[in-house]
Amino acid sequence: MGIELSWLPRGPRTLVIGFLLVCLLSVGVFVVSADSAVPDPVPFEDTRSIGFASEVHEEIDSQESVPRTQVFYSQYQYVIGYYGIETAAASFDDPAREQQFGYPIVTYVSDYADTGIELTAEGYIETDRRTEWVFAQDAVYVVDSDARTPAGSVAIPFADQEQATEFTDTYGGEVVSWDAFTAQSHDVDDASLVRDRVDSQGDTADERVTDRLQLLDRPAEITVSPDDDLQTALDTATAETTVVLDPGTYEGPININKSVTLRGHGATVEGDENGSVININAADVAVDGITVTGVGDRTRNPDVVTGDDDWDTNIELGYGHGDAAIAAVDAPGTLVTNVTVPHTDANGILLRDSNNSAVHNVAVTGTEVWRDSFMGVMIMRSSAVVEDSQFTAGRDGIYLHRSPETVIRNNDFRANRYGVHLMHTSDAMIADNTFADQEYGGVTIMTSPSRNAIVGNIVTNTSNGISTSGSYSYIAHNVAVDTRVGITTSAVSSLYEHNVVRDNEYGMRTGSVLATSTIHSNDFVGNDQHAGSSAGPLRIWADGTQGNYWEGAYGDATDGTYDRAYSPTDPVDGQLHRSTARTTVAESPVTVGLRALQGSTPGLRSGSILDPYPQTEPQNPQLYEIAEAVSEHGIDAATHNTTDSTDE
Amino acid sequence: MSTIVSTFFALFKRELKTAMRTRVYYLITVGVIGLLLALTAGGGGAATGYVPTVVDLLLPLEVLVPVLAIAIGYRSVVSDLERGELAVLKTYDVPSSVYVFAIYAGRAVVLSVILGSGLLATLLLVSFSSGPDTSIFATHTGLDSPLLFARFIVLTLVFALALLAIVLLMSVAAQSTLTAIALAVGAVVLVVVAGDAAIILGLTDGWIAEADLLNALAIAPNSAYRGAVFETVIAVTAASESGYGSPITSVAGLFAWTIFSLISATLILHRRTV
Repeated sequence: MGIELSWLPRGPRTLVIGFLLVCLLSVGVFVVSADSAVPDPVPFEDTRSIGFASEVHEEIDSQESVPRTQVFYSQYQYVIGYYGIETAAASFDDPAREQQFGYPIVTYVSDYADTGIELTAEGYIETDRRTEWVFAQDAVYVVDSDARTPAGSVAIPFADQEQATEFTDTYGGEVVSWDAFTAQSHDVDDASLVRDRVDSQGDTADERVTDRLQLLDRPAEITVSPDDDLQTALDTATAETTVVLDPGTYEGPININKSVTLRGHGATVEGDENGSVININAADVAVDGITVTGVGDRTRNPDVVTGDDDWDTNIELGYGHGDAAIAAVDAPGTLVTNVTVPHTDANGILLRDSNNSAVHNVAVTGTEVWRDSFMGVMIMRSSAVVEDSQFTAGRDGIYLHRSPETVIRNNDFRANRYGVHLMHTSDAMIADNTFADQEYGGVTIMTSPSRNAIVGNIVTNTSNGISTSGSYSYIAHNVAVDTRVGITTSAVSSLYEHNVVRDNEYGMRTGSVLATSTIHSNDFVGNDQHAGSSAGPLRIWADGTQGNYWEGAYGDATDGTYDRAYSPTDPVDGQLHRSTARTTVAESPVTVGLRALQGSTPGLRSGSILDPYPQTEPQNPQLYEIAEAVSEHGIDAATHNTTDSTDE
Repeated sequence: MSTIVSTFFALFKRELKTAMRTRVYYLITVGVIGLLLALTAGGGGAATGYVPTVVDLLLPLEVLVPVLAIAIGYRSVVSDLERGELAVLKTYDVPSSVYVFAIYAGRAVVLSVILGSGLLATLLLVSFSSGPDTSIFATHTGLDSPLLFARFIVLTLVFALALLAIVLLMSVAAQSTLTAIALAVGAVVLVVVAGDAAIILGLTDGWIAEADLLNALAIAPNSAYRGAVFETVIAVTAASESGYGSPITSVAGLFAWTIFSLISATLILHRRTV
């Protein structure tokens, strides 16, 4: 059978057979399809998941209560998990997705057929059995039913058409195919919504503070002198009136148990170095113009920590129970204004379970070594506004724990550990603050929250200028100068725009393996490394054709954009602003050709950043000047209200 | 028949023996392996997969392969000529075609071994060094696979063998080693640069229509190679688009260059030895 070779001597025969085999193999590698292997689904917790903030997670009883999707992309080595089928469908509409991840090889969704699915009265999903994974195309989807998650209404996939129809009989909605489902437009919250929210959130904060400041208009009923007993005066005062303190020193601690305003310009309330000094336990209390001293040194209360040794529980229970100059507990609508705390070994102001509070124009100073003190303002489970204040030499200037929608603006932070520190806090806004000489960092976001806005801040001389986490956040119009890392881009699916990073070791640095953020119109000047990247795919830092300004980028320019892409992580490109000789290397045909080719497989390439549209001029001239001034003369050269002077 | 076959294999073996005695080939092998590994490691593609490595190597290979073809092939015939061995062969009445194809086959094996060992070493490096960047998350390889790299190796060898045939033709045409190297370099530069340049000119002046572009690309060896790699290796993992080149026409083009050069070499040699 086959080719007759027996006429050949044995040696040559072997050679010819070998040659034919090589030919066959060569043709074979082209005949065999490269995309035949469809990967199996993985456990959802092993995917790189997006879609929910961590504190929302805790409201979810089980994995089954949210329909999930997992997608394997052709150029992306991580499996991406989406909470909610809508989140996945929305990402399919994103034009940048294909460039960064390639196309989906296979998509799996959780199948609710045969799980005994029912909805609670609120519409939350409950199942008897675990969901299995099914090919997205093989499932049908119940949309517009009563089903929902903490994030909103959800579509539910069923591998079985009949069971889907049965579900709609009970809970409403209609059954659609995968193609029909993905063809619909799916609006999921994204970072641009946070950008649109910044102004209105500022207005809301204005209203809240204006409203709180009206507490100062309460009629003065009692005037107290240093010889009187302050606590007695407070106990006898009528609610909704003002207790006025003459200048002088008053003995504390005191308790305020009714809705009064305590005013004392020039008055000092002196604690006994044991416990909190002014304790507020009623709604709508205002403290105005008082200096507070003699704060106890207990920073937390281990006695309130019960059983659960989860580190987070420990913090939540313990941190909110330390000593403070002013401690408002279960006291919604508290106003603290014109207050000075010249020294505290613990907290300055503590707001625990006190929503709708405002801290306005206060100054808190901690200790020489930050370890010896605690938080300037400790906000625990309270939504508040903190503005126009000064925090010096504490552990954290302002510490937030599960305090969503808090606004922190126009404050000045000096020599703390962190300036502003967020834990489990979403929807907050941190705007127009200045930070200098923090030991660890300016703004630090931890624990994966969502939709935070960090806008118009100036940070200098610290380790991590602005350190992000979580998702769908908006980080814009900030200036970071003289830090180790100016801004980390660890918050995913977020928007980083119009920031200026100057003279840092790293201007920006990305830590997430997920490349879903948009980073554009930032100015990178004088950094040792403009940008750095840990593991993960190639990051494209541009929005459409709008890139960033990189000192050192060059090339022919059209309309303010260089036609030569810039890669801050490239050993040649990344140092162009420091070494002119590197331009000679960069112009080698080998470099040029290689770079052009490398863009063709971005998702498979590790640890690099590329800006295809580098800008020829700084994008934020006024912030650029501020950064220059701060770099040369320190933080005091910075002018405030940077968001008002930004250049769109 | 069998004398021709045994003559062919005798000449073929002689080529291999000569090659094995040539120490500089070992040096070249080490050099090629080193260069390819360095390019792979330096390009950063190795850490992530086969296709990024192909992307890193494609452009350097377009330069390296012609240089290798010259190094291996330029003396193949002319040195026999200079040593007077061709006259001996004439005495034994060896047909020109057998001589040319045997020499070519021998050199082709040498070139394939050198280039192939470099590329296989790269394949090994990638298979060991590429892997997930983290153990926290589940990973998969996307559409990346060693199969795609194997395609790249095959296409690179086909490209190399076409260039070797052209160099061999020049070696036959040359009268001395010096003219051989000059001719070989000249021809390779012509083929490598002029082909692409002609296509660019053609597109600029408009005498290559869009419809003819894929065929034109198949005619220029470098473009044929590049187009085939784009189409059968890189485009597989990229978007669901194609049309970078026509792989079958491209490979046919490369084979055409090989066959055309070898037949021309046979004819020239035949005329000279008659």
